[in-house]
Amino acid sequence: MPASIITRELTKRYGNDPAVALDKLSFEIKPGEVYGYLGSNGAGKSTTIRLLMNFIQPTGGSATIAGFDVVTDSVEVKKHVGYLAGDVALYPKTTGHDLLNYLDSLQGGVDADYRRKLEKRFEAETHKPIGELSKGNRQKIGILQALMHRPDVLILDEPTSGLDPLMQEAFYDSIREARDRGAAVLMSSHNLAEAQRVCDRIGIIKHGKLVREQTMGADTELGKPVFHVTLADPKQLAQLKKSAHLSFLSQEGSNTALLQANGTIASALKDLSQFEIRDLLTQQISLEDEFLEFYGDKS
Amino acid sequence: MKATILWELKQRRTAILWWTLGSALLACLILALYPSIRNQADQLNQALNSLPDGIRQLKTGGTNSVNVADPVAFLNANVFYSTLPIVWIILAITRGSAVLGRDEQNHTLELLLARPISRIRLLFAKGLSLIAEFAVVSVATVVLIALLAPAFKLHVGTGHLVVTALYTAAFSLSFGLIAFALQAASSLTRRAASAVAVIVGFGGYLLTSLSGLTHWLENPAELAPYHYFAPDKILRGEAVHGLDIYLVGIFIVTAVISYVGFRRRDIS
Repeated sequence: MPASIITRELTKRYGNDPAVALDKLSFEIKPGEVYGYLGSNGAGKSTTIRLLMNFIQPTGGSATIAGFDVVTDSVEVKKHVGYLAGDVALYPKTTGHDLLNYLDSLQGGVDADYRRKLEKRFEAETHKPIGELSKGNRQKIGILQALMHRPDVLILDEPTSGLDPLMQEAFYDSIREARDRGAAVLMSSHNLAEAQRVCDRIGIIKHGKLVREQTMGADTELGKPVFHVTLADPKQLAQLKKSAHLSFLSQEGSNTALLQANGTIASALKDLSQFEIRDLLTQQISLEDEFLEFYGDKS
Repeated sequence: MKATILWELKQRRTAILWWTLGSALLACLILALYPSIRNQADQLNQALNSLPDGIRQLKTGGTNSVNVADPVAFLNANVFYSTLPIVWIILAITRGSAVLGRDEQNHTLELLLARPISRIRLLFAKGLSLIAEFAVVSVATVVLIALLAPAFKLHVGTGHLVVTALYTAAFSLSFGLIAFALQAASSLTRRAASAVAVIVGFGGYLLTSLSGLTHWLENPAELAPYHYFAPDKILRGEAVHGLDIYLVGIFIVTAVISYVGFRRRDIS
């Protein structure tokens, strides 16, 4: 099945700025896939999204959405896309209801029942002027306008910003619903726990370059458990490092090691049972660890 | 397109109402002064005659007519050459720079461009909404002037009155279109786009009016749109080819600039 979002060496420079805002970015997002797009402020996340939405013009490279070029077939592209801007800007004097009606008339093809269902799910206050709403309630209107036409592709910039935990859950449900019907989702986020929870794959961008792509899930590096093992006898540590079903990650002191299962948990535990263990803790490598690998000490 | 025009008018409904009332009442107030001025015409004409040419042109709406009792001279000097265009130019420039610029400044433009509507279609809809808003204000004022002028014994043909008012509206709107085009075609801020339009509009008014005082201003004044704006001629039913050419030209030029500039530029 062809990918819903494809970028090929997509590049952006702003004016005479010698720095490249986005440097030959290439990735693909397939239908039914949720792709988390991570990076620090100014890394190029919003630039990528604005290029895909044709708000800004690429300096080089190309991108397609649903098979249409984002620059030359922009109108066709927008028929397939639901977009939520980071820190969404709405019309403060109008009500959410009127704004959604207006955007509905521009978009076309909005299922009124589905819109009502979303309004109910998000407990959206659509009859108050938007200017009188809290940030979270404004964000709900933003989410509604992005989802209400059941797009094939969702491009969301910091979508859960300002939402309370209950509404975040409602949002995740909507994303899963979109994924299940085959929509491709590109979601930028600062919330690594959220990305780890919702995304099928993540991409980490730094200084305009995609530095890492990582599939999420139980059978991936991020999903495998890590054992924090303290041995009774430090002399056994060398032997522990050579275990067939455990990968050595690091050592702490003379008798403690961090190891990750490289097969099933059962086989890893079988290996561990051969040692006299004083203490054993299990944990998972978090996305935060991955992220910090690129943005922490090495940056 | 219709949805965008109606949306804009709905967003602006209160402001449109106030602008319409202000513009129409101001015009009525001036018309109501005519009987008093006509009664004191001799003294006023004498006073005008004693002024230097340039100052007199400022007072008489770019003409050398010194008969304030003449309905055409009165309407030209007090309504169509200065008061109405000034009010309408302010409205046109304010709205011309804002109709697209406000959406870009507030980042709501992204909300609209995320829909399956081409930039050109959106630009066209925004331009039409500017014209529609301006039309509501100016047509209401024109109708009121046409209805009230005979009551104040300003006997100018209704047809000429309406045509003059429409020319005045189109002339005023042209400065709004300049602001609109500058804003659409570049990343100029609303204030910068307005400033350029103000310089062309009001700068041109001063240049044209003062050219009678200072000989060396005569040639530069020919570059100003106001130089070709002659409501006294329109009121008399005379042709104003210079103004026709300016209006057609400015509508075409601003449309082309807006189209070429907005089609592919980065949205800020």
